[in-house]
Amino acid sequence: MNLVVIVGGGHAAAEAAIALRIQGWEGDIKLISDEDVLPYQRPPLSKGYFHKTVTSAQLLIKKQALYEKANVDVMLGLSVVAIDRLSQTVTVSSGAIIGYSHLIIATGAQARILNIPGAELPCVSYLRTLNDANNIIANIKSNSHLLVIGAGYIGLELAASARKIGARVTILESFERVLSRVTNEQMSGFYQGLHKDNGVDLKLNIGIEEIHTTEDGYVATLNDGSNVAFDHTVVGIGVIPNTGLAEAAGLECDNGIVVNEHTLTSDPTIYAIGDVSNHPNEFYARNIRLESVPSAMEQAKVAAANICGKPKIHNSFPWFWSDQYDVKLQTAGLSQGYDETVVRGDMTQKKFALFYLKKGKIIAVDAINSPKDFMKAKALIPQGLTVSKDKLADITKNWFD
Amino acid sequence: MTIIKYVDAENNVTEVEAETGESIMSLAVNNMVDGIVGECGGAQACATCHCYLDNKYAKHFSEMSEMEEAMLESAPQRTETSRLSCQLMLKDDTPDIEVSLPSSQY
Ligand code: FES
Repeated sequence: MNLVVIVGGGHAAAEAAIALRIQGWEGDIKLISDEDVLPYQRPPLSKGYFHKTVTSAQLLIKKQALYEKANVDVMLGLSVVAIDRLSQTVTVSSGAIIGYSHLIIATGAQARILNIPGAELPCVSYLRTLNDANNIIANIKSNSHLLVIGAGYIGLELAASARKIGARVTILESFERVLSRVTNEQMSGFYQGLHKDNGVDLKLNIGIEEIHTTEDGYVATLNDGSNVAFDHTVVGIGVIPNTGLAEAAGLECDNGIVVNEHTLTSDPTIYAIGDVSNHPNEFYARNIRLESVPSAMEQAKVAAANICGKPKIHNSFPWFWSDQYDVKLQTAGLSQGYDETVVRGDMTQKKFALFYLKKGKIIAVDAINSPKDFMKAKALIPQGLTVSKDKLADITKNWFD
Repeated sequence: MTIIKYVDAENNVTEVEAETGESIMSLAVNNMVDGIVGECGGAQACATCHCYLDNKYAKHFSEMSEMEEAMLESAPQRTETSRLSCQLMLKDDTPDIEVSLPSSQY
């Protein structure tokens, strides 16, 4: 049998389906997604789609006509409930059993749920899906008060979008600074200033204890005893990889589904790609799991090539971006484990690059409105680059020459 | 019917029917034109949608923004006619266009 089954409906899944055809796969391809719409891009949900500059048609990663042309059987609104590795079949929520010669798991991640009294109220939402986004957009008006719980990228981007339409915004963060898991204190300070300057009420070091309804809306009780009245809240406190299916099938999992450099799991017929994969990274010499569209696309291409008998290694360098207000952040690399940082440029001008070094070697760069530094960093860091701190900080000369 | 012609570095030509509202990047991605990647989906964050647009076609598209210029500045294989194809939007009155592609987007 020559049939690739792809489980999931995000970037990795869509990309894999088409990449298989581009790589020359002649067998059948089935994509099974539990969402009721074709795979779409998630990054614009908190930005362009929120402001209606990106339409739902433009959100689609690939259009219907392409799946048809590529002869991909897209099965929407169905979830895979079990994998039987012995018989090489998956059981679908409709009861159907589908055999596979190769299986690609691209189940992504789900939002971490807020676990407090009142968290089940209709004013509480998460931003993962198009439905989530539609619900949030319908609930944030120019006269609304939006409560953002968690100051990660999603929370901050939504805060910026809500401010742009004039809504009142309060952000709650349990740590002492925003973006604490991905940036250093200086960068957190920069984003805190940016949001405050744009009229956001930012409360750090604060927890939320319960949410209850009032006569004209909702109130959150915080752990310092204070109350915040609001209309709608979006929770962005991290994600959990969707490994349930893989675990139940006995595949090795550890913060994601563990794969090798070919995106292959512990079963030689099953691949795992995208946000759900825990994969080796050569540059950082450790296993990583990323929440990243570019990485998902690359993993999809690698899996497709390997399935088509063209051995390929996944060795892409992680990068990310975030748009908030007039600030474009582009990050090359992962900063975890740095022992020094250098700022190049003027933070007050909102145009600078922050270099993260480890034992003198550059391991990551956060570039603020500095695409050139980002592009160079993305290309050069993987080659192993040691540049003196003075040179990095000297804006009169290129740091990369 | 308006045709967008993609010419890759080996002179392979792919002709695609234009669609209003699409960009030259999204049209390529939806028609398996391999030489355009478009990792960021048009957010001007990746420059993996780099193409070359002859000056004679420039007037049919909006001018380069500061961000596009800055992204292209360090893109591999940059030339005078470099553009980010995600910024080249197709309109009702766009004529036939030909773009060429670099040998790699990385
Ligand atoms: S698609 Fe990323 S810059 Fe054009």
